[in-house]
Amino acid sequence: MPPKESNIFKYIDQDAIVRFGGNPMLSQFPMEGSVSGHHKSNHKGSSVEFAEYREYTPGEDPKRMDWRVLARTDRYFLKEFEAETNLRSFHLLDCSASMKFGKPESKFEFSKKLIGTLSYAYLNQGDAVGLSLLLPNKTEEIPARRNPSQLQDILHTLAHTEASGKGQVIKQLHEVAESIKSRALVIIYSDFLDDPKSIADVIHHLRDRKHEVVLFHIMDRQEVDFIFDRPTRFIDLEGGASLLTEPSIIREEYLKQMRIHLNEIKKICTETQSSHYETITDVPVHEALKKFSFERTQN
Amino acid sequence: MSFLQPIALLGIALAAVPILIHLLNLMRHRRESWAAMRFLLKAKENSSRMSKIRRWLTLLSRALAICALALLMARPMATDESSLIAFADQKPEVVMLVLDRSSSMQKKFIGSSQTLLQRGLDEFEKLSKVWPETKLVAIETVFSETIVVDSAETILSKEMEDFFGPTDCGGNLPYTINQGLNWLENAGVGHAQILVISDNQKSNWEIQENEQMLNNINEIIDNKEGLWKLCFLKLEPAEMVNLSIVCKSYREENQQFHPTLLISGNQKETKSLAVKINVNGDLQTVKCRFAHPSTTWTPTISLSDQPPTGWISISLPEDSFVRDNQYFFTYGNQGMLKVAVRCKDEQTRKFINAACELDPENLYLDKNFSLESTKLNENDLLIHQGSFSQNEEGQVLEFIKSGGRIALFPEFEKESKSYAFQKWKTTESFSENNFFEISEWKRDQGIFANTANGRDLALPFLKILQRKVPSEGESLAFYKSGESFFRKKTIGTGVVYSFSTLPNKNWSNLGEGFVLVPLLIRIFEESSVKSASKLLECGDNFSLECNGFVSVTGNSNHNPSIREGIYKDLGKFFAFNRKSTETLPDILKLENLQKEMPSKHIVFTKASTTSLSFDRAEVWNLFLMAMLLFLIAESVFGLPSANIPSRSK
Repeated sequence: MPPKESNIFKYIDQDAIVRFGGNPMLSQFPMEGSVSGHHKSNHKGSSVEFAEYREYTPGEDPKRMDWRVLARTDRYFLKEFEAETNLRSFHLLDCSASMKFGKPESKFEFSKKLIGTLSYAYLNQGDAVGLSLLLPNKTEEIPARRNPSQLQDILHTLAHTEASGKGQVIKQLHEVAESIKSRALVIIYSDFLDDPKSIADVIHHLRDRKHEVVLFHIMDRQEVDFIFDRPTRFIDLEGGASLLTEPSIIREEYLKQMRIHLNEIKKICTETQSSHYETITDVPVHEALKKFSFERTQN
Repeated sequence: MSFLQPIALLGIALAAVPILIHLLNLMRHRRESWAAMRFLLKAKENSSRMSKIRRWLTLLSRALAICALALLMARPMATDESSLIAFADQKPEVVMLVLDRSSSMQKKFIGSSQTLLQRGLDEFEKLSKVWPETKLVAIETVFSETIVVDSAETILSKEMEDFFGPTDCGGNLPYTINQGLNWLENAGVGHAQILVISDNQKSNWEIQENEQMLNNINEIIDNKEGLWKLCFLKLEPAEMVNLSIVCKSYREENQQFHPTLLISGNQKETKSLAVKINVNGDLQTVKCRFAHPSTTWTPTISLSDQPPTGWISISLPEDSFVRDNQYFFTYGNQGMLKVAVRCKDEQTRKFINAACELDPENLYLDKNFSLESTKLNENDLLIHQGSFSQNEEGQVLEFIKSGGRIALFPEFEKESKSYAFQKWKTTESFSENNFFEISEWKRDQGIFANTANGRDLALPFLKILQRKVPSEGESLAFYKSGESFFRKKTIGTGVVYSFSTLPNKNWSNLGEGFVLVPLLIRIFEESSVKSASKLLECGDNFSLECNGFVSVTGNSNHNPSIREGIYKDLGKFFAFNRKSTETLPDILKLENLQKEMPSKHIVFTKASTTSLSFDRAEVWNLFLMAMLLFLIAESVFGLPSANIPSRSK
């Protein structure tokens, strides 16, 4: 049953918001915003941050000419300053059935909390926030906006979305990468159980489009530790085959495979200057976002 | 391997329980929805072989641990694989001990203070306890007669020492084994276990001489097709310092005794030995220079202050094996037959004395023996004519019973006479023209046997006018009328020879000598067997007949058939020494014996130096260890190998 309208704010973690404090979370790459903001822009602008001197070319606006340099050197130079703009953050949520896994809280529900909290934070600092739900057969999108009602839309959409079916996350991510026109912060919430090579392709695609890519790798504690005390039949949440096994016997190999997979994704992220955050659902949201916020508030 | 509580072996069936539990566990598994199937499938794929092995090893460890527990509770008893117990798969009717009781069995067992004989008997006791209900039979090499015993403890008891105790004899093991097998055959024994205990001294086997007998033993065992099983248990003697002494020859002259002695030793050394010489109890010590490997030594022993007959013992210093350190001799006229003549009839005495003096070197004659003055027991043979008083009759009977011999000639009185050793009929007479004629006698053997060139004795030429026929004993010659001319009667170990007429002209022409002299000589020969002057050996045929001999150098219960030493009988000394072949050190290899007896039902084994070969100790600790090991293995295989982090939250 979908939550009541008043309950949709549960997706905003109060502790996390308090801990972020007043410092804005800045992007790590220049952004293309529509209005002035806290983030670096790829254009020169009128901020107080000096950028460079450039020789004047006839036809350019003489407003930005440095008259003092002209007086001293009798040469024409333009004094340029960094432009600061807002960013558009796109939250991409994997809605495949595998995200339903997890106790007491599923990976999907935990991801919603992360999205809700970050959406609030970004909207609060004047940035635009958009949401893409990577559903099994379609992609539902809320375009990035910076008006206050956007939060409610996002939270409402999240509240009414359930994870189900066998996802085609990679294909949908490629589509999303194409659909986002200008530079943006793309945050993906998924368990990334796909082939690392295809994940690498998607990240490269997003980076080629000049987006800053952030991966929240959502995992459940049981997936990480894999502790079972008796024979178990594992049933694939995405409808694959079931497997009867003695977990204690294959545990070591399972953990090894998981480590290899994680390492490969981390390696891809390092190569593409993307951020990768291993997030386990049994930690509080503010803990899960601690590293993310720290890296972005210290710029 | 056998078990005291075999019922507990049913518990081995419980080994199936872990497997059943495992299968049940698989059946009642839990179901878990899972997202990361990707890793799970890969992990399963990669670890399936190892995991299968580990799983089965775990199950195997559990099953084996239960088996070990069941075996532990069944109280297993260990036996040596090569032992007779392992060899025997069925309870035998008879367990037979064939015991080598030769002198060499007195040597110390390797690594033990026990003698080989004691060790062998202990081994037999252990074996007998394997089948407590089975009949025990023993046969040993000295008497080679089968003895049925109640229990192995009987064999070990003091009372049975004469039959199973130490001896100074040799032995013939093939013969003894053969005798034992014959007994089993005659007793109709089905299943039998035969244990031959020996140090395998070559001289006790004489393989070449006994080849036929060994083949025979092999054939008998083979024919029984496993019903009779023969086990040869070889006992290894310890290699310790040992000196031995044997006599090669001796001579006696001018009141001096000169033995030629061979002293052998097993240590490479040259040393001076303090040899003790004991002459009739007078002990003196003489130095002898010994050089490895053997020294011939000829001491001169003075007999000047000694009685005309006596004994000598020569002893080496004590070492690891004392049985071969002594040698015994007798000196004086020990070898001469002592004959006492007591005849009331003068003619008879004259004839007999004349016949006796024909061989003065071998005969010591007391021509006028008197029962009142001289001890009868100091003689070998009494030739008597005349009547006996009641007292004399008693003396003579004792003399005969203790092994003495007496040749009786009839007395003059016509009435019938009855003594404890012979009964005489009334005297019969013929006229001068008629004689009692002898028609038949035992020509094939004994006193009346034909001469060496096959000629009959001249009995038909005897002209007998008077006769007084003895009525007791075996008739060796007969008158025409069927009456006995001569009888031979055995009483105890002694013999009574009875003539029916006298060498007296009024009685017969026996005094002419053509019959009387050969008869007397043959009586002397029969009597002189006991007084042979040669060096006697324990266990030989003569020693087995020497009952009543009194030991001079040993205990009163010593017997010349099994113990060396000086013995006295009828006033004469006898020196019995251990079997000379017992000094030979050669040991027969089991392989050589196996070649002669290749039957698969015969096993050859050496006695264990650490524990008894037939020891059946409980080996529960072995199975306890095994169980613990399997449980540890189960833990190793069954538990996850990686460190399991504690489940957080």
